Amino acid sequence: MEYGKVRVKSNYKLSDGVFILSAEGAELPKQAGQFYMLKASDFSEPFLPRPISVFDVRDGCVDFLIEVVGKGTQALMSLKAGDELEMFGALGNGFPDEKRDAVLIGGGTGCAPLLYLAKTLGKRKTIYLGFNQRDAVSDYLLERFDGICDKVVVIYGGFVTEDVIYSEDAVYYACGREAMMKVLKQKADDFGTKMYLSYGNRMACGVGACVCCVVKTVDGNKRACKEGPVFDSRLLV
Amino acid sequence: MNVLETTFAGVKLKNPVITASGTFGFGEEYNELYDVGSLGAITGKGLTLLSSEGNDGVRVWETPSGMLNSVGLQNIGVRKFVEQSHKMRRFGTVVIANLGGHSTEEYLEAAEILNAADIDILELNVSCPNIKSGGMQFGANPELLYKLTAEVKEITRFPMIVKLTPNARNIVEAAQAAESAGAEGVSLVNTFLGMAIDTESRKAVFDNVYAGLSGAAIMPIALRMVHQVAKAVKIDVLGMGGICTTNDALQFIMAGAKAVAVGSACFANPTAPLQIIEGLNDYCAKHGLKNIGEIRGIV
Ligand SMILES: Cc1cc2nc3c(=O)[nH]c(=O)nc-3n(C[C@H](O)[C@H](O)[C@H](O)COP(=O)(O)OP(=O)(O)OC[C@H]3O[C@@H](n4cnc5c(N)ncnc54)[C@H](O)[C@@H]3O)c2cc1C
Ligand SMILES: Cc1cc2nc3c(=O)[nH]c(=O)nc-3n(C[C@H](O)[C@H](O)[C@H](O)COP(=O)(O)O)c2cc1C
Ligand code: FES
Repeated sequence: MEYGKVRVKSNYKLSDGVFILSAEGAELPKQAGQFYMLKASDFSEPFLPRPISVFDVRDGCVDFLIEVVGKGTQALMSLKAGDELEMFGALGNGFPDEKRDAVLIGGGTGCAPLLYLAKTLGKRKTIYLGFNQRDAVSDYLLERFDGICDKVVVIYGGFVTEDVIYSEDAVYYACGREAMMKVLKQKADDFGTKMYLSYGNRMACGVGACVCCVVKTVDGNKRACKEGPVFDSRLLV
Repeated sequence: MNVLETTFAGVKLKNPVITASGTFGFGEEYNELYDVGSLGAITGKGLTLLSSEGNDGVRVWETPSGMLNSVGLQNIGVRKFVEQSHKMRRFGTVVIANLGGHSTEEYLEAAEILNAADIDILELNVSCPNIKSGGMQFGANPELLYKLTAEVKEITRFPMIVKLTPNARNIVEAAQAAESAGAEGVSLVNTFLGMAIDTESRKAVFDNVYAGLSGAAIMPIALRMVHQVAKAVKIDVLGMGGICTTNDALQFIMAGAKAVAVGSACFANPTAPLQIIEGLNDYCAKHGLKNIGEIRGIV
């Protein structure tokens, strides 16, 4: 893990509220599913850095797919190529590679950590992507996943969780909104599937020092930033 | 003597920059980023007699230039800490243990157990706003505070400082009560009681409704309180509350703090304590100070 100022290589707007920020000169992640704490500058507003997952690693740069939610993500969107970016990471435990057939499930821009995962996993990969509607963002993501997954299933509107085939023969990896993750956890329990969920929470330190980000598990509270953000669905309660 | 060397609560520190309880775990996590041993001292997460899972619901909420937290003393309990305290010792700097509690009996039993730990200073936390009973109630009432401090002081084998709450009616009286009960120092401030409401759900953000405000936003008020307390007591003062930069740290020292603690700033910039140490060194060199103590309390 490293902390410091790095350079923005590029910042590409996919739509009004979604962009891809590429950072140059940072420590590269060890594993897909890890995240960084990002901040436009250190003690100015907003005070806390924002946890953002690794979307891709290309030419020594770390890419992030970010959706604007409030002022932190807004500040990140306004960064331009050549600007400084405060970057802390790579943090957390990512997705373990079980060297089995993999099923990836992503909801909207929540699919961000699955791209680098798909790139680094060894086996046959199927991805299910759910979007509210077809737009520039979904088109871009489909194109990116198309090249690296063996099969891509896309659902516009509706619930992607209902289209997935759950089996015990593959390992499942998912990331999306909380509601989707709750449904997936239930499905994994019902069908006895092995499933890893990237399960975020509000964070302050990002390294395990403040216990602000805990997630309830069968073994008690676990820190999303340290033991997570990827959890085996069976551990979550 | 090194320019930053400072004696605090009778313990020699290589520099006066300490980490604030609850913001630095037990040092392990940040030691992966830099040598935690270069800090003046490290303070561990607030301990209680029994382990605790802390509060439910949202635990952190950003505010303008700061944050509210409602962690609620999630911790491993003093017994487990005693088994692990040698790990903090390995960093090669002064170790402070922070002890909270819900009742006098609990504080006393925990202090007794902590005597077996390998630490240098005990920080008595009578100021946690995030637990339902005890905690801050002791810090808000000078008579209760005096009694508790005196009783723990009897039991503990370590130099002891008392962590004060800014939510007390009169923080100067609280500091004086700690002094007359025999504490070697006081640390201030803990977080300010605050609140946030989610206007969509029309509910309080925190399950506990109120939570503790920290970070840059509280710095001028914390500074004023440190100034008032430092003028009123002879024991050592550990100043904290929103310290982010060298300039902030210098202001606390000029207001009378013998050492300073960095808390929430580590979230904004995990290397903040290191930058402050470097900045204090530069300041001393630039102004021809032989020791940082020369500017203590000059305002
Ligand atoms: C491990 C992890 C990985 C993430 N990866 C991505 C990603 O790849 N792309 C992406 O667009 N978003 C990601 N998020 C969500 C992202 O962190 C939030 O959308 C962002 O923090 C919102 O900040 P803001 O200032 O724009 O919004 P505000 O609502 O103004 O933020 C206020 C505070 O709440 C926190 N907060 C608000 N929403 C969330 C949330 N959903 N999760 C955690 N904290 C939140 C903020 O960090 C900040 O402290 C991830 C979250 C986590 C925990
Ligand atoms: C997440 C968090 C957890 C904290 N936990 C403790 C604690 O366990 N014991 C304690 O005495 N103070 C605790 N504090 C208070 C800090 O030690 C410090 O007094 C306060 O945050 C003000 O300093 P700052 O503005 O530099 O953070 C906590 C603060 C934060 C932000
Ligand atoms: S954000 Fe501090 S422990 Fe996870």
